[in-house]
Amino acid sequence: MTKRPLRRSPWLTAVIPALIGLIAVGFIVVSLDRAIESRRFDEVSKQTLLEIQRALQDFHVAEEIYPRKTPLSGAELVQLLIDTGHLQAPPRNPWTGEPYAFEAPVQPDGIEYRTDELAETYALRSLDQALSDSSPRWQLDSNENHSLE
Amino acid sequence: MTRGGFPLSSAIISAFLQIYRLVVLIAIAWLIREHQVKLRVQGDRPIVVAEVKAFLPEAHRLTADDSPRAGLFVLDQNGGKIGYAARTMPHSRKITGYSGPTDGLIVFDADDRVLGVAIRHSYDTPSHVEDVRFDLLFMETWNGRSWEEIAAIEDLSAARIYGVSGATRTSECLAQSIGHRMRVGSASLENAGRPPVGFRWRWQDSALASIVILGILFAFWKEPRFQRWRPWFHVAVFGVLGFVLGDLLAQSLLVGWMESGVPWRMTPGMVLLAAAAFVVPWITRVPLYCTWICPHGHAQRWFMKIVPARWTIGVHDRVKPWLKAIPVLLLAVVLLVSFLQLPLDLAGIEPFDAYLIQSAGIATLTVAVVGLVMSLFIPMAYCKYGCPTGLLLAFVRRHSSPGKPGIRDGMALAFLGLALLLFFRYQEITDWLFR
Repeated sequence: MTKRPLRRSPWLTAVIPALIGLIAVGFIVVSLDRAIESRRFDEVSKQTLLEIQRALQDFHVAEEIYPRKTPLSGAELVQLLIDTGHLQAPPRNPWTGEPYAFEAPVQPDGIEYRTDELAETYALRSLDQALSDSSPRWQLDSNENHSLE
Repeated sequence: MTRGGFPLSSAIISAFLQIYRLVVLIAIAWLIREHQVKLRVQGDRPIVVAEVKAFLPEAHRLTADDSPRAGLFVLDQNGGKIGYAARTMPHSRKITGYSGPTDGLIVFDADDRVLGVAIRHSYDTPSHVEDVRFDLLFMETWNGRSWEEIAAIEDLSAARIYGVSGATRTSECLAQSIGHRMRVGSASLENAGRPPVGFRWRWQDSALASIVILGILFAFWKEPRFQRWRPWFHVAVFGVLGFVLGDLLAQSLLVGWMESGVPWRMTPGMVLLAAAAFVVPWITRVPLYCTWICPHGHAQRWFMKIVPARWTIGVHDRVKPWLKAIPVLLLAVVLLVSFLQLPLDLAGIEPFDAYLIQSAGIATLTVAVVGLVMSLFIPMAYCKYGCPTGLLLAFVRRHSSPGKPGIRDGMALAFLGLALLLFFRYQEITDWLFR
């Protein structure tokens, strides 16, 4: 019986190339999935921030000032806006994908609200998916950034 | 009756297939381009037909206008243009009323006269916005005026446009936004006649043109004394195109051109290279770019020679089709990234940016290194089983067996179907994926 050369062994000609191909496909699929997830996060965080901004404007019309307490986390601000009747239901927390839950002990939350001493202006910022503090993903305020368009 | 050794009917089918391949590619490129124009014109809050129907009841469809006006043509059921629509945002995002900007809709009739104005949405105080919305005298102020007449308004009072009492700032914000939007379109129209930059030919373009000409000569002129210089041409192309210019054809480049237009004035040499890469194989069956020009192809050919031939592996026939599906999958990813605007850097799916070492990302470098290492044992591994740009160029290439549509022709049709789906069902798909 003649011995098959190593380079013709099915391990080298089929199994290893197939494995390399599978790894390549795995990388492609994971990258695509991450990109879709990142875009989904962007959409949700944008909608949430706009919903909060709309409620803040309503609060300002009713009270003639913005909420005084500063800074407030997204959850705290949503709670306040619901309590004062300017939000009907909690918007989705972009970092959990679920509506803001107030009984939950800890939830990732990258939205922050600030106001000035007289509560005449507001600034809302929303961090990126990784909650890195270096540069906010979205920013709204009463001076420069009125919209996300 | 035969022609070139093949029956005439085969020659006709072959010619038909070549035209089909070109048409499919052009159709996909056109869909990508139109989609980008639509996204640019419509922005985050697309105008829908129902909004326009309030002013033009016969409105049936809206198509994006790629001209500097950047609005929408309003079409009736028969496809006839019956009007034009434009929104003020995002151009007017810096014009604020009491507490924010307002997005207005302006609808024109077929004679370019305003039929009506509506508030689409506003970041301003809701009660003030409602006051403006229901003040018909104010909202009808623009009716009958043309785009240019509104653009020319500098003083609102002089043009008899008066703010709404109790919502002065909000109404003036809308009036100024409409004027600003018209001026943006008009200013752009004035500049539209002349090109933003003149035609320029730099030394880089001369180098690229020389590479194309020499590549064509090496591919077709088989004079032995000339062909003796072939290895030196490969080395020169590798060095100049790869490391000096870094101008390799890649999906990121081609998609960028499809989305934003071909920069033939700015980089004519690069456009010439791309045109030759598609046209020469389409006409002659010679893979000009892949065989004669691509620096990564040359690198793989040199890597193949490093190890003894007996070390090379012949991939099993059963595995080959699965591996050849990888570039197909990558092309599908390219389509999805472009249509859905996914945050995925297309430079990372190919190795070509690796030649610009300083700006190359990890993904690019990994693909380049893995591809080259694999080519040590599987000859031209990346070209055969990883390159989406090579697959695209191979698709347009005239095939050696004429008269028979191949599996690539079927795949191209599937890609066209995917592009059509993404184009016509964009909103439903993004709602499903991202909401």
